[in-house]
Amino acid sequence: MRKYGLGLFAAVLLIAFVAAPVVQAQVTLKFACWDYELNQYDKTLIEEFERRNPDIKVEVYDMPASEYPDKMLIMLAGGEDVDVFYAKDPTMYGGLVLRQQIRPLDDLIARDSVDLSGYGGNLENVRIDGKIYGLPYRADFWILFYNKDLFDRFGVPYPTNDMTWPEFRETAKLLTSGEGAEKTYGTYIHTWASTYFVYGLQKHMGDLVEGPYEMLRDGLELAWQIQMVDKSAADYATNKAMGAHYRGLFEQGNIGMLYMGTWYMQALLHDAAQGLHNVRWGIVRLPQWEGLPHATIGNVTPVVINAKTKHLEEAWRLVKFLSGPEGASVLAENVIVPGYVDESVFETFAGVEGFPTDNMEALLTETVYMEWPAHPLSGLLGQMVEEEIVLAMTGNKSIDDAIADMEARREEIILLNQ
Amino acid sequence: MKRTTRNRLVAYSFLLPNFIGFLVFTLIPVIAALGLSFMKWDSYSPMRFVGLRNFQTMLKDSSFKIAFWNTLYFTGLTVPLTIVVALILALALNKGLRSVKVFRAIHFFPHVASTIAVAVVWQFLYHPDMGPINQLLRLVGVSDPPRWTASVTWAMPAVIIMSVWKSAGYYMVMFLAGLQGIPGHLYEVATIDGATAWQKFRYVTLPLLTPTLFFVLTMNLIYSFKVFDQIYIMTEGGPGRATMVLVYYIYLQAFVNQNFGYASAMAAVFFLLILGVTIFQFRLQERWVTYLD
Amino acid sequence: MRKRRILLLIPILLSSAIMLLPFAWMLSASLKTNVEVFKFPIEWIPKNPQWRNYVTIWSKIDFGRFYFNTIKLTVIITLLQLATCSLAAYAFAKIDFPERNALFVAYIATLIVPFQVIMIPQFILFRRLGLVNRHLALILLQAFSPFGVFLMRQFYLSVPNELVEAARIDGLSEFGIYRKIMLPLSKPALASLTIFTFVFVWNDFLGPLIYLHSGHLRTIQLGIRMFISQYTAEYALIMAASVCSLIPVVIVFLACQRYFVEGITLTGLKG
Repeated sequence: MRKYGLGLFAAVLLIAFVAAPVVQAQVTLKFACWDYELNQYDKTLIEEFERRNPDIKVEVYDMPASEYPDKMLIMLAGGEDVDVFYAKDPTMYGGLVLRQQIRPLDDLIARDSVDLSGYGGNLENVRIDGKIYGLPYRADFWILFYNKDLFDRFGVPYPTNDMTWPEFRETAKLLTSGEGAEKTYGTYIHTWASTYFVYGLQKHMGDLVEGPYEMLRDGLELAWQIQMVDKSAADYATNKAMGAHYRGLFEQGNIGMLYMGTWYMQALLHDAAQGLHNVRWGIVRLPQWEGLPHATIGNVTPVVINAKTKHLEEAWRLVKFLSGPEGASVLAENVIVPGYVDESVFETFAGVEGFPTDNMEALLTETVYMEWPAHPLSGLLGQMVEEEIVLAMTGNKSIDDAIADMEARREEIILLNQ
Repeated sequence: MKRTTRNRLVAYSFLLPNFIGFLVFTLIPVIAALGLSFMKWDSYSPMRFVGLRNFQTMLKDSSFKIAFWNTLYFTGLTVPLTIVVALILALALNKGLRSVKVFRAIHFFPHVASTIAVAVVWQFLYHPDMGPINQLLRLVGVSDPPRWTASVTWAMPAVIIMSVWKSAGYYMVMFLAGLQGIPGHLYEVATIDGATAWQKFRYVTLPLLTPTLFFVLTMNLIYSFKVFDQIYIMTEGGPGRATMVLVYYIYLQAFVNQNFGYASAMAAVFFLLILGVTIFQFRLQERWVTYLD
Repeated sequence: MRKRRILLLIPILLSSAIMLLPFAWMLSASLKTNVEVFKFPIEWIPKNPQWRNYVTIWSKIDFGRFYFNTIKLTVIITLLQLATCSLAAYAFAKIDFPERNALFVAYIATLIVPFQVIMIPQFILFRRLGLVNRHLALILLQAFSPFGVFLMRQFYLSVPNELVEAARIDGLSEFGIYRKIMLPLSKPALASLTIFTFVFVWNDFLGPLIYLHSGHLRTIQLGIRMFISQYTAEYALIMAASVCSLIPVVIVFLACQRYFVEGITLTGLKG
C-alpha cells in the first residue's frame, strides 16, 4: 500500500512536470476598460473570449469611467504593458495616434482579410491619415426619447422621425403645465456642452475644431428660447444647481421629450426591470433643421492595441473578437449599439422585453458627426467651447458675444500651441 | 569630536528614516517635474528642450492670467477668513462645555464628508431661487440676491465661503493641539495677577499659540494656492473662467492638452512665488512668533 | 456662569447644524432610490426608506475587501508617519546643525508643487522600481510626509529649550530626550497628526487611482467610484457606502480627542 502510494505520488509529480509547460504556454493579456464590473457586457465578452481561446488569459484593469483617459495616459507614460484597451472617445484616440502609442492595424486586417463592411460609416471615424489604428467597438449616437403617457395625457401626437427643431420647440410648449409636484416640462436639456452643440453640428458646416462657431447660433437661440422664454424646460443654472440628472428626471415621468445618446436605452430598460419606473417610452430620430439632410451626432469607441505589446497575435485576436460580430451580438443583447452593425443587431434589440418596437427606423443613420474630431486641440477647444456656452446659457454673456469670443479664443489657443 | 560634527551625526540619524523616503519618493519627482518646465513633452514621446519658451507662452495666455488673478483672489480672502473662524472655533471648543468632543467632531465633519454630498448640499444652499441662502436674503430685504454659482461675479465668493466652511474644522484641530501645549500654570499666574479673559487671551494664549499660528498660516497659504477640489466639485472653473484657478488650469494643460512642459512651467512660476512668500514668512516669524526658552 | 454657557451654546449649536448638513443629506440620500435622490426640494426624511441599500453595497461590490485594504493601508501609513515624522522633526527643532534650514526649506518646498505635475514623473519612477500595482507603492508614497514633519517641528518648538538643555546636562542621550521628554509632551500633536493622516489616507482617491490597477487591491474610495458609470451614477448606493466608510474616521477622531484634554504641566516636570 505504502509502495503504491509512493508510486502514485511519483506519477502525480510526473504529470505535474509534464503539464507545467502547457500551463506556461497560456499567454496573459492585459486589457484595460472602464465600468467592467458595473456593466456586465464586457465581462460576458471577456469570459466568452477566454472560453473560446483557452491559450489566452485576460487580466482586466477596470477603471472609473471619468478618470479613464487620465489614468491610461499615466500608465502608458510609465510604460505599463497593457496590451489591449478602449479609446474612450475620438479625442483620446487622436492623442494615442499622435503619440504613436497604438499600433496601426492595416497589415493585420489585410493579412486576415477582415470584412470591414459591417462597420459602415463608423470606419471613417477611426481612420487617421489613411490608417486604421483601432476597430469600432461601440458606436452611440443621439436620438430623441419621449414619454408616451405624457403625450397621451395632453392629446399631442407622438413625434415623428422627420421632426424639426422648431416643431420640437412647439411640441415642448404643449407638454408644459402645472406647478410643484404636478409640474410637467416639455423637455429637459442636460448640462453637458454637447447637449448644446449637437444642433450646431447638424448644420453641416464642419466640426468644432475647424468649422465656424456661427454654426452654434441657431441651436443656442433655440435652447435659450425653450428655457428662458417658453419655460418649457428648466434653465441651465437650475439644472446645474440641482445636480440634475436626466435619468432620474425622465424616469420620474414629468419630462415629455429628452434628446440623449443611444446609451440611455439600456439604462431605461434596466431601471424598468428593477421596478424603478414605469414610463412608457418611445424613440425617434434626433430632430433636424428644415431643408438640411438629416444628421446626428455620435461617439465611436475603438478598441486598440498598445504599440509596445509583446503578444501581438493574441491581442489582435481579442480586438477582432470584441469589435466583430461576436462582440456586437453580446452588446446587442444588452441594447447597446455596437460599432459592427447588421440587421441582427436591431432584431436583437426588438426582442428585448420592454424595447419599443414601433419605430425601429429611429436607429437608422445616414450621417453621424463626431462630437469632437480626433485632433490634437480637441481637448482644449472643448473646454473653451463649454466655458463660452455656459456663459451664454447662464445669461452672463449674449450669444453673439459668446460666438465672437469663441472665435477669438480659438485663434489664441492655436497660436499658443503652434 | 567637534560639536558641529557630533550634532550633524545625531541630526542625520534622526532624519534618516524619513529623509530617505522623502528624497526618493518626493524630492526627486518634484525636481524632475520642475525640470520639465524647460521641455516640450506629451508624456510619452521624447522630450525636447525649448529653453524659456513655455514661460514666454504664459505671458500671452489669457487663461493663465485669469487663473493667476483668480488664485490670488481666492487665497487673499480664504486664508484670513479660515484662520479667524478656525481660531474662534478652537477657543470656543477648547474646554468649558460638556460634550465638547462631539461638537469638535461635528465641526471637523465637513473635512471628511463625501465630496459629492458636499457639492450637492452647497448647490442646494446656493440655488438662486429656491436655495435657503437667497430665501433668507429676501426675507431681510435684499430684493435681488446674488445668483451665486451661476453668476460670473458671485461664483468666486460662493466657492470661498464653501472653502472656509469646509476647512475651518481642519485648522481648528491644529489650533486645539496648539492650545494643549500652553502650560496651565501661566493662566494660574495671570489669574492671580487679576487678568481679564481678554488679557489672558491677548498676553498668554495668543503669543504662545504663535508657533501653531505660523504653521496654520503657512499650510493654509500653500493649500489655498493649490486649491483644486472645491473648484472641481462646485463650479469646474466656471461659469466661463470665473473660478478658473491655477492648479485647475495646470491640470487642463497637462491632462487635457498633454502639454506637460507648459503645465510644469506654470507650476514652477507658482512654486517660486509661494516659496518666496514662505521664506519671507520664515524670516518674519522671528519678529512675531514666540517660542518659550 | 450658566447664562454665559447658554450664550456660548447657541452659536455652537447653530454652526453645528450647518456643519452637519452634508451628513444629513448623505444619510437621507442613502435611504432613497436613485430616482428620488435628486427630487427638489430636498426630501430630508425619505417616505419609504430603502434600508436594503446598506445590504446591496456589500453584495454588489467587494466592499468587505476594499474596507480591509483601506484599513491596512491607513494603519501602516499612519504608524510610519508618526514614527518617521516625529523623529525627523526632533532634528529640525532641537538639534543645531549647519544644513538645518536649507533642508527644512526643501521639505516645505515639495509641499508647494501641485500633485498634477508630479504625478507622471513619480509614476515613472515607481514603475522603474517595480513598485506599481502594489499596496507598497502607496505606503512609500505617503509615509514620509513633509506635512507631518512640519507639524511636529512646530509643536516641538513650543517646548522650552531649557528643558532639553537640562536633560542634556543630566546626561540623557538625544534619543533619550526624544523618547522620554518630547514624545510624552507632544501627545496632542501626535494625536492631531494621527487624525490628519488617517483622514487623508482614508479619503485619498488619486493615489490609489494611479497606483492600483487590479481589482483586489482597491480601497473604499476607488470602490465607491464603481457606482459611477460613464453615463449614470447610483447615488443612493454611493451615499450608503460613504456613510459606512465614515465610521472608522469618527472612531479615530473621538479616540484621539483623549489627548486633547490636558495641557502640559511643565511645573511637574521641572520639579
